[in-house]
Amino acid sequence: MNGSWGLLASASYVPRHRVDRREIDREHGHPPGPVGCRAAAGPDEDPLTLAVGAVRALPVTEVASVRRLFLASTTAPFADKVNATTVHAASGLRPDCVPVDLAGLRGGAGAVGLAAETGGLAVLSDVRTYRPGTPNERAAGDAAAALVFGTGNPLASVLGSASINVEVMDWWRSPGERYAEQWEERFLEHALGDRGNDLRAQLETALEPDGEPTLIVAAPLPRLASRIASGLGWRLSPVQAGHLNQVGYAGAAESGLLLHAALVAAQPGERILLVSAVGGLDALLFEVLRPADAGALEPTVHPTPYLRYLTWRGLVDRDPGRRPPHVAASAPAALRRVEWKYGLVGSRCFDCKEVYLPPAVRCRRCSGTNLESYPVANRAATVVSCSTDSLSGAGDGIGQAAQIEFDGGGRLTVELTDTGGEDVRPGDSVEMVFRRMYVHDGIPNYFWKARPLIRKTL
Amino acid sequence: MTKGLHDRVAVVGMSCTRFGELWDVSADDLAVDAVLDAVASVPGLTVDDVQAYWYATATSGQSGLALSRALKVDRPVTRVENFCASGSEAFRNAAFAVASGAYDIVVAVGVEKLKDSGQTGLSAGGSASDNTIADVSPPAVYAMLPSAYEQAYGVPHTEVRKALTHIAWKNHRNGAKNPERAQFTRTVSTETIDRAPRVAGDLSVFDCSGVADGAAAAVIVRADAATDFTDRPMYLKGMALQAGSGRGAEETGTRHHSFPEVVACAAEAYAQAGVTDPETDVSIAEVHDCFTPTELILMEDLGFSRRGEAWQDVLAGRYDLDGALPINPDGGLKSFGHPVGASGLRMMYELWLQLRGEAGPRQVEQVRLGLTQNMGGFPGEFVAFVALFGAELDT
Repeated sequence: MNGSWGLLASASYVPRHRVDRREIDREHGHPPGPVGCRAAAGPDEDPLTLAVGAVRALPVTEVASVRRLFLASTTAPFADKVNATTVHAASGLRPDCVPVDLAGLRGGAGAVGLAAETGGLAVLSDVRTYRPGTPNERAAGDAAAALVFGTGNPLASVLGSASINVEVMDWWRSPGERYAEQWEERFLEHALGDRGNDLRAQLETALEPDGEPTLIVAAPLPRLASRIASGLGWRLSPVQAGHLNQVGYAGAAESGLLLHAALVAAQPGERILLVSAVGGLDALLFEVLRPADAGALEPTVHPTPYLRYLTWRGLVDRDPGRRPPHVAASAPAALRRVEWKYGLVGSRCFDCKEVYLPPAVRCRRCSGTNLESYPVANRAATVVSCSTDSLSGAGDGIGQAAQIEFDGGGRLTVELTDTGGEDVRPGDSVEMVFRRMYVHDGIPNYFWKARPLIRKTL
Repeated sequence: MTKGLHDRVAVVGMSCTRFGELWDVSADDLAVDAVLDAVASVPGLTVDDVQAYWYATATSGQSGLALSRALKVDRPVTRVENFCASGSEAFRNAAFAVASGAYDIVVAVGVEKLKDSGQTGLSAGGSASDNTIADVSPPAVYAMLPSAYEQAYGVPHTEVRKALTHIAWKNHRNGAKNPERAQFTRTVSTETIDRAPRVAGDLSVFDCSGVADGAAAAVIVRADAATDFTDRPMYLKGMALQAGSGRGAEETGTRHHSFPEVVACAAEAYAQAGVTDPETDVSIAEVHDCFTPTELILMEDLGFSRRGEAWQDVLAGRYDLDGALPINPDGGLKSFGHPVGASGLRMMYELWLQLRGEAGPRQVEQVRLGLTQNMGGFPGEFVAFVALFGAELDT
């Protein structure tokens, strides 16, 4: 194959919802801390939908040939079932691509390291929920990142890597526990923060002779990140402060989000040192070869009241409304229609080109039974008619529904999401997003919704 | 006595899908396959010629849209639900529609997709209620039949048990001759049947019909036009349906050694068809063997055996494929499972083959009059259906 080895593309997905940290302070009666906001997964988002958002923000050409998918998350919905298969099914990856789950906070850096070494797609995604009122809750954010490594026209080359293993009770959460725990902060700074020299020694050849790289440190505590930077003798990149201020610490996704943000801001020739500090230290050194695409960095944000955020996380037991209960999707029925449910692939009559969403087996127009696959997930669509819905959306205020038509044909009734409370109007452009429709008996039910495309005037 | 539709309606095309654990097909797929195959069985006919549909399903779809959307037709479609007799009910109403002259060509299709629920046994929805109905499974209720029968006629349990085993053995033996469509296509020894684990009471897994997906469909026209479509139509000779008042479930003193709703339907259908001696007038019958004791009692309720003697006739082989009156020649619910909405039309499909001489290794000699008996509910409160079909118009 032509080309050279390296990081081929990166992308991030950050939910549109933002909770103002000063509001969190106010609601808990705390003195106001630094200004900023945290990204919050919406009521229909979870680590898998965020992960799909990140993968779908990558160039299709880079994703199409991927043979391995490493999904890192500490909050993925399943312990036994493979979570990465959902991301695989919704992202249009090749059928022989192997999806693997990585657990724990260190799984994020692990996924990037694995993909960098063997090639493949590292997807890092987390929705970290901390005990309300804690500094961790204030500092955290929900987001995902995706990075493809392999042979081609790399965005960055990998110059070297280093790891130090530290068996220590730093951060932990037992299965079934809602909140993460951590040991005393000052001890953690001691245990993980003073090993800069060891890292530099391991990376020595790769680092010399060019001096100070752009340093980003994925750590649950800002003071730990600073201490590691001091130990290395370098400053943290301003990219890191920007990310923490506008998104927040994203658990297993943190390494990927910082790396993507650093790549977007970097110039060709710049070197980026990514350090992850959980369960030890992991470092990867990159050299930027060409400018990165900002990809799906979300310019649109919706201010979200703290109370709604708590409701979405199930920390406020809000009246769900007197609606019929949801039912679990049938596993055989979902499997038969896996391409529709996860890939939004309809069908089109081979003879008369009529489009059917969901896929049909017989053409209404020409009575033909020769229908071909017709994917619409990446097609732009336009709202034909729409309505608010105070019943179905009762658990989270007023919902919106719409009938939309895809460019090139095909019509579908959808739930709208990420509207920021604004009314959608006929003629508005929408894009399809993979979402968690509801959870029944602990089983998330995934399908697609539409959300308004960002208007230029906003 | 009702007038009925004697020789006024004919079936000119039929289809029946494979029955079984059809993981790869949906209820929609089954309905479309059944309709297209039934239409294709009539030379020159297309889906566009069909003027109206009756679509039977208990739980696999709601409203006529379930069929019209899947089949992509814009036509009157009526969804029909009448418990386990839903398939027969679709046929019955489709027959009324052509007999009235409102339509010339209609299709009745029955579909059920049971295996998507992941549940054991039949899945039933229900309306909101005070929830004071005992949670008793169908096998448990039907397991009360054998003892009622034994007490009513003073028959030893061992003899009744032998008869039940013979019914299971016979129906699986017939199903083994139906490898293209049946869910279970192997013979089962009487020893295996007797040794099998009990599901409820004395009923083993081999006394219970299976849980399957499947569909069947019929193209129905007026009898006077039938030969325009096929040279071998199947004519409706008599048909009756009754929803019981619940007397058997509520009245003091009733015992479940007979199903009054079936007796009433049989009398009505026989009168319409001119049947005076069912034992000899009826050539073959497809009956609702949801559980083996059901088939035993039906032999008496349909007039094939005298009261208290069905167990002897069963053991004597009278109802075997080579007996005097073959019952469930296709293998019955025992071999096909019971995709609720499809079963009534599946029974008619076997008569269709037998009356046309197309039943292959199961073909019974000199079939003149065939009967289907289909029912839903529980002992004491049934929706029952009986129909009679023949290959010739009466002159």
